[in-house]
Amino acid sequence: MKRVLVSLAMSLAMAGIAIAAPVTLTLGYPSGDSKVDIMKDIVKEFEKRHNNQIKVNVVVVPIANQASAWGSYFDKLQTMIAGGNSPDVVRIAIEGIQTFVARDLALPLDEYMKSDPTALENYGDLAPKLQAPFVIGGKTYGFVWDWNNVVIHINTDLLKAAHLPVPGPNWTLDDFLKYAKALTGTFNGQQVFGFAVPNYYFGTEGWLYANGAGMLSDDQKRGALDDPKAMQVIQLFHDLIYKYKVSPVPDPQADPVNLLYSGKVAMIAAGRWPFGTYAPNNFTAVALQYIPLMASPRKVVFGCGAFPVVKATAHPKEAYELSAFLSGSYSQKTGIAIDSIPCRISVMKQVLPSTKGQNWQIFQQSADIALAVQSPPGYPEVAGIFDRYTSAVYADQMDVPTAMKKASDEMTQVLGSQNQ
Amino acid sequence: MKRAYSEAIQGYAFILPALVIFLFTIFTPLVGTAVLSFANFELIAKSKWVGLRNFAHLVSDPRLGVIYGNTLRFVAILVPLHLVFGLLLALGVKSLADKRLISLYRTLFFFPVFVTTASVALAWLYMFSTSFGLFNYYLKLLGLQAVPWLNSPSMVYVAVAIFSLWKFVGNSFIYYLIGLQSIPITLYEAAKLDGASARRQFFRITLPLLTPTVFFVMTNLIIGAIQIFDEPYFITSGGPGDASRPIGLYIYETAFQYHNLSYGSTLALSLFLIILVVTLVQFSAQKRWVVYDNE
Repeated sequence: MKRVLVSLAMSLAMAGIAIAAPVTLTLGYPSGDSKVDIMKDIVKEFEKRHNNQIKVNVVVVPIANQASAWGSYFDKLQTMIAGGNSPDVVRIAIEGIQTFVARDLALPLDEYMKSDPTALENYGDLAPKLQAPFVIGGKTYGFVWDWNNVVIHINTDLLKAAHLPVPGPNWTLDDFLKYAKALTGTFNGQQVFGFAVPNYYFGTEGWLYANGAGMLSDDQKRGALDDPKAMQVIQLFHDLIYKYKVSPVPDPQADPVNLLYSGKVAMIAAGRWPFGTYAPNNFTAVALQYIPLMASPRKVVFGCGAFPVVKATAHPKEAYELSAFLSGSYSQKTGIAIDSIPCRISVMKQVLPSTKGQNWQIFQQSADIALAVQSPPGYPEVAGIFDRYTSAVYADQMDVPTAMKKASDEMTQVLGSQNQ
Repeated sequence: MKRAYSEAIQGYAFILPALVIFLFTIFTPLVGTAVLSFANFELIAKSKWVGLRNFAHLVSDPRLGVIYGNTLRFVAILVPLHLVFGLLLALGVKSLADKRLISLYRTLFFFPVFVTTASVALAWLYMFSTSFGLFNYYLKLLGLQAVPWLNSPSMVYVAVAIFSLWKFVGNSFIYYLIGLQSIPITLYEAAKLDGASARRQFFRITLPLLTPTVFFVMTNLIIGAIQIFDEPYFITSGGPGDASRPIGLYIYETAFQYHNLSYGSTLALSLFLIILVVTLVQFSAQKRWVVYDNE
């Protein structure tokens, strides 16, 4: 009898240990993202709210700091999964989610959303347009955390020196050219260019949308850079450099943000991320405006990011809770103070007024008219094709129609092989 | 017979560690690369055998000719530059009488080799910038036109050559210096007694006795130039267009950015075969011009 009681007590004790043993989750985060350290603080709060019964290890996955780096990020994630070290939750931006889902790496979260809706705080608070890219084929693969768009940043010190007011939201391409010309010259003994051509995929797509065009067709199954409206934009960028001479020749890996706050360029096209560089350099002489209106209705590009759960996770419920928490108010307020825009409408309203730039309101206003950046499966290769041909155009080595036709054909070929 | 057998066993025992390292770090990945070339490899999903499909793609790849052409240009430009400048620097340093100066210059010329390419490339990018660069700033001060260092298909090679020379010439310099220091001084003393000029000493003593080093440096330089990656990756991004994209960068992009590991492996295999042929030709040709001590 005594032996039975001892066995029972030991079994209960072991069961107790098993219940009390904390679950450890791994959060995969790409290197090169400025928020890695903040993320470590945010997960501490998550652990606290779960009485330390769920632990989170933040693992930084090293990737090259390039637009096409999502490919290497996925390869590393897949290597970790194949090696039995799969992260449970991963940081993924809009450019990568289609590829992630197409490779069957993501766990649909709808079942968990139904059984545990409180983990999401208020799902309706996530701006619906911004959340849409993470709902694929009717299944939810993540809850958006941060987003960015592309607007024009203008150095107001140079604007004053050129005796120009901050342009209005309905400024046209002619107005833009007048500004670019007036802002090109020597200011305070320094050579200044009016505008830095956005030679990166996301920035160019902002301009393409503004002209009613796109990188790809609407169904994202073929390249569309040979569309006359798209070619008009690329030709404009070429002309800004060589015909009007108001833009510097884009260097490989050039940093336009640095050029703006150092006063070498008066206008750049970017989202809210430059404020992450402006702030530590105490640069506040900046005004924001939409890309000049070229086609109606106005369209603004956006990109966003979330924390999908990896299908291979051994702890799907806890991973869902972490994914939901990371898109919650606490996480957005803590992690997205300066250099992105929070995806929760309530947090957006609280955070954006602290933006040290005139017309910061356009960040919030554009959430309602924003259109997701085109990012099909195979995005890294499509972005690589874009980089290759536009670099030849901006180096004046290829004419726009030839380059854009070739780029479109190659994109169509890549997208065709992805859809097979 | 027994003794010869025992010596052979001893010999194999000595090379065993190197053989094991070779098998695991070179031979196995090479076999893996060859195997991947016949498959459509997926890390998680089931991979498929595709026979010669990747090789058919290799033959019909419209970019490959340009990319191997670029690689050849890098070899043609960089190998002679490093061979000549490395030797000139080594001869200059060797001629110094003060040993402290030799030590100083040796450190100075070899230092850039130690520095991480990524960090110094940033500074060089700034110097090469067409609109804001340091080089063009001085050219403009002299009343000259700005040079599109990174925006012209030909000038981009000049930019890479300048950067490569600054960054890596220390390698060939140090090998040459070691080679020069190993030439017995008595040979020069005897030549001087016979009244040989410095020029004659160089062509009759230094150069012939340095040929094993020249051969070693040249072989390494050719292999390194065929595999060139750092300079175009950090300085030119392979552009403008494909103008400076060598095969090493193309393999990296295909395999690790566009996650087509199988075609990346096929490309790597083609590179391996080219390097193998070039190296075999070099080893065969060296019999005609390399002078070894025992000859």
